Amino acid sequence: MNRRLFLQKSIAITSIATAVGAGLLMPIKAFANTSEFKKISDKTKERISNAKEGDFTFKTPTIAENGAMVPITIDASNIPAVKSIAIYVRNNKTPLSAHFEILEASASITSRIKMAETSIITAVVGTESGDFIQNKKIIVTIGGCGG
Amino acid sequence: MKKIKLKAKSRSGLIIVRVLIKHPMESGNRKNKSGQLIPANHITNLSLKKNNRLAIKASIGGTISENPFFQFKVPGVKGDEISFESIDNLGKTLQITKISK
Repeated sequence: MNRRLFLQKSIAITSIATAVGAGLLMPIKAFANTSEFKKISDKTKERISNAKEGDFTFKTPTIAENGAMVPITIDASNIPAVKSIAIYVRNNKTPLSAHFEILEASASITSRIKMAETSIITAVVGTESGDFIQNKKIIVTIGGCGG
Repeated sequence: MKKIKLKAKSRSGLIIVRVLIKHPMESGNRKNKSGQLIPANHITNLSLKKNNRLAIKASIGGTISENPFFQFKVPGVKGDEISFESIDNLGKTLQITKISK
């Protein structure tokens, strides 16, 4: 085997090896969310379809210059006996951002979320007598982190 | 910089708790320059306790911003003990306890 042929073959083998490494091993490592979180996400999606429009404070920017950091405030302290608060971003790959269980606290949450693109985001407030939602559209000019 | 910062301030019967965590919050959906997925590394669960009683429990995904910030409101007075704990998907925990001002 001459030198040129050897080099060609070895390059071919290495590229196959990298392809296998990238294709088969990475998805296991890059497992995005736990199955438990997926369950909560599916449940929240179901709850949104049955929920009523509610009256609570839901503060967001209308235009987010940077999708990697979108400030969100949900304050449902005017609604009695709030059990949970969830943030659901429809166009994200992982639509549920966070699900808070309110045990002995005021129903007021502030956080920052990532958004991949312009989307409608839904705040879900769960009480014993049913769920309340509010939808808001946020325009994202630069997407953040693939959501 | 510390990995986790907490400020608790009481005002007319409510304690405002602000938490800032230093964490990459990699969602696992992002690709690097050579097109490979960056492995997920984000906080999955967090809990806030007041005087050793659970006040807020949360499950969060990779779509919370890098170096996440949270603000909670808990009924209480000056001198109450506030503690916060978070766990990420690699099993690493961060914990902080402070007395409310």
